Amino acid sequence: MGRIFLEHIGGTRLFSCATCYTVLTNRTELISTRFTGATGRAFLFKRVVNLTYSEVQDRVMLTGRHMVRDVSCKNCSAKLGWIYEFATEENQRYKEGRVILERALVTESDGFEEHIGED
Amino acid sequence: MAAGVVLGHHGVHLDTLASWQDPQYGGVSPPPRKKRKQEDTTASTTTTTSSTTPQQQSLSSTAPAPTTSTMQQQQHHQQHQHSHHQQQQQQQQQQANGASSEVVQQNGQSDGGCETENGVVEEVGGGGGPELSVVQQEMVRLIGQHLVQLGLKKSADLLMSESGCRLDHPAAARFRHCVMGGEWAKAESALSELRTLLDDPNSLKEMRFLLLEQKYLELLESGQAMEALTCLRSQLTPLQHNMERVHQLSSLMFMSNPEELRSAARWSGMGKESRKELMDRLQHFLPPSIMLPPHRLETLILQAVEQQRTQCAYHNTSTDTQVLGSSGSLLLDHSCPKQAFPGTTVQVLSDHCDEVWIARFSPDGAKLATGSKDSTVIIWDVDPETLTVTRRFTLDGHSYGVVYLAWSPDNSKLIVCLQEEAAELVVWDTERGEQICKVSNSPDDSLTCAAWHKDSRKFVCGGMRGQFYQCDLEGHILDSWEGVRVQCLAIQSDGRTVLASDTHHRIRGYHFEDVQDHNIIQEDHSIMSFTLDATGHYALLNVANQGVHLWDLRTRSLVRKFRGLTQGHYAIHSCFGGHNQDFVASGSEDNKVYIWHHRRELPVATLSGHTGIVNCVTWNPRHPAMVASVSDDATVRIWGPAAQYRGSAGRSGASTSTTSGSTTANGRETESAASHVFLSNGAAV
Repeated sequence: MGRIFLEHIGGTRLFSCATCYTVLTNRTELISTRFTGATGRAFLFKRVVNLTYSEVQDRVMLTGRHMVRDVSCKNCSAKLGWIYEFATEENQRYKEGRVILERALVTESDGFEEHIGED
Repeated sequence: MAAGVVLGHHGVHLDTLASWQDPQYGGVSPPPRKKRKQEDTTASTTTTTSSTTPQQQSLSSTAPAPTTSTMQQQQHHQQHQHSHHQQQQQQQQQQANGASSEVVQQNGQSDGGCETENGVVEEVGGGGGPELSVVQQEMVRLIGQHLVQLGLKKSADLLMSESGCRLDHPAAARFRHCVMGGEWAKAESALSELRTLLDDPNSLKEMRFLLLEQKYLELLESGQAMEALTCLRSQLTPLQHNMERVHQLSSLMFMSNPEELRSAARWSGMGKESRKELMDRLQHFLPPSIMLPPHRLETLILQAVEQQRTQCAYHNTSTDTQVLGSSGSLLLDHSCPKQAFPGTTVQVLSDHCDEVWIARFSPDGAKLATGSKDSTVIIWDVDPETLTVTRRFTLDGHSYGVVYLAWSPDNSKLIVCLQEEAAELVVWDTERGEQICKVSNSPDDSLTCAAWHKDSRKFVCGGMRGQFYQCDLEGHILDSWEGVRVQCLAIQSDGRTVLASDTHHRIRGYHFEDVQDHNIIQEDHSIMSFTLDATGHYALLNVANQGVHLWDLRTRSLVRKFRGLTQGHYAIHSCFGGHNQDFVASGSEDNKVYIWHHRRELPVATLSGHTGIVNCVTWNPRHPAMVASVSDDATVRIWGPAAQYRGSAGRSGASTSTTSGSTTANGRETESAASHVFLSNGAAV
């Protein structure tokens, strides 16, 4: 369906979709590794690109009740994790807008130093 | 003699001028005229009495009835008395633009003249016409000026006398006459008469300088060196104005040859032309109440025509707006009909068997290339008569789908870029349908876009995995820039700067030779694709979810955001197009083609017909009425004007008011017998 437009977040250590290797995010966006998803370990990232989002759902997790959307790879529609939209408890607010990617569903690889340049 | 006392005196002359000299309107406001009338009646009565004796021969009748001929002769009188130049004044009357310029004086006169008839005249306008407001008088003056230009002097005189307006100030008319006749001394004296009427008293010096410069140059050209020298020494130099030019002029003394003189002085030579130019320059110093700007009525009308043209949303033709009548009749507002604009499907071509992702017309508009997910590229020939395409050949053998195409500026070569996984790109010769070379450096490369250098011998290419190469026609990599994830490329008209959009939402310019780069455009969202216009000054960007953005590359500023379309998920391409690159077109995720006029944010046309996402739109650079779009529905659609506007006669959006004899935008004047309707699938070769 058309030529899917993919962004590239850049960075030296990249995380990509395990199915189609679309680059999703990088190490510098990593906030925490101490999360658990359906398949096991999961990471919380600040910013992730090339995702499609599901409808918002109400979920009760270990940390409380949250409104989340499931995220999938934009290129191949493989399930990847979820994004927090709303946290009912104050001390969970820091997760809002952040994305969880399950460790088993992504692969890590090397990127390169990007040329930023001056203005 | 009473006349001598009253009228031969400069002071009184100026008084009478000043009396109907309203500061803004130069003597055409009604109230002062009432006063004037009284003054002038006294003046005129004295004129009539005094002038009968010496000027009897010039008066055919002194009948009190205010016929136009009487008034004109009385006006001649007035002239004589004022300036003491007898025959010359009459000649001036006939020659000068402001021939009937003393009409306001006439008001008094005619009223004086028709005192016997009208007694107390309630109409201040005089001459029997209605009272006119200031604006109406200005319009009458403009019409009078235009009539004189057309050679309809009698009508102009009649108009001036009936309306009671005057074309030009009498002193200005005299001045003009002296300048055109080359009588410099008299011109100077006329100029000093005008001194009080000028807005800026300093401009008097400037004007004198211009007069003397012309005099000097004319004397030199006609070989009167001594007089020229005198002029230079005793007249130009004492002015102490623009001494640099004076020095230049003095150096011209030694020119022997008139042609050399002319080119050195940047002067067009003695004669009407240069004097006319001089007059035009001098006229700038005179307020319009004194002397009407030349061709004023025509100028106003041309402005109105230009305004109509800019308002015309579907304007896709060439019209020279500096020439009256080129946009058709003045009797109707200009507006191009919507049907003349490319909005109707002319052809639907189903030669591809999968999604078509990219299409590009060649720079000369003679060929179209379309690339598809089915990994083929089809080259089509454009038929300039019918503006349809026929397949020429199919370029296949690619390993993956075709995502980008780039025509070389010399129209002979085509770069075919494939999906990221392909790790190579192919350069084809489009005349023979053969591969020229491939660029395949490493299996990890991605080369998903490319752009040619002006010489059609080198090109740049790059991709998201960080490859950014400069290559030659043998597929060798000449240069490489590290660390840039390239999404789209273009080369600027200066031939050095490579524009690349990258993943940091920006477009940077890169100089491969001196390894310099600089930021040009910074967006807040991803730039999916971009393209440059023909001049290279503007860039059109498809920005994810933000519409199509038009940027000025010189000032690096955002000019306009075109909205209405849907895009963000898939890569959509847009283009400039139309006559004069006035339009912008883009594909969209809602299956429509969007076309905007470059000055308006909302589309002027949305073309429906495709049944899948329109991935790319391209506009024929040579034939402004031809647009091609490609879509996920595997078809290529050619769009053009409605049937009645197709065919050579009505081609390219003739406006309603143009006649069929006008030149079409293609520059062809042939007429075809009938217009054709094309709705069938494109012919397969």
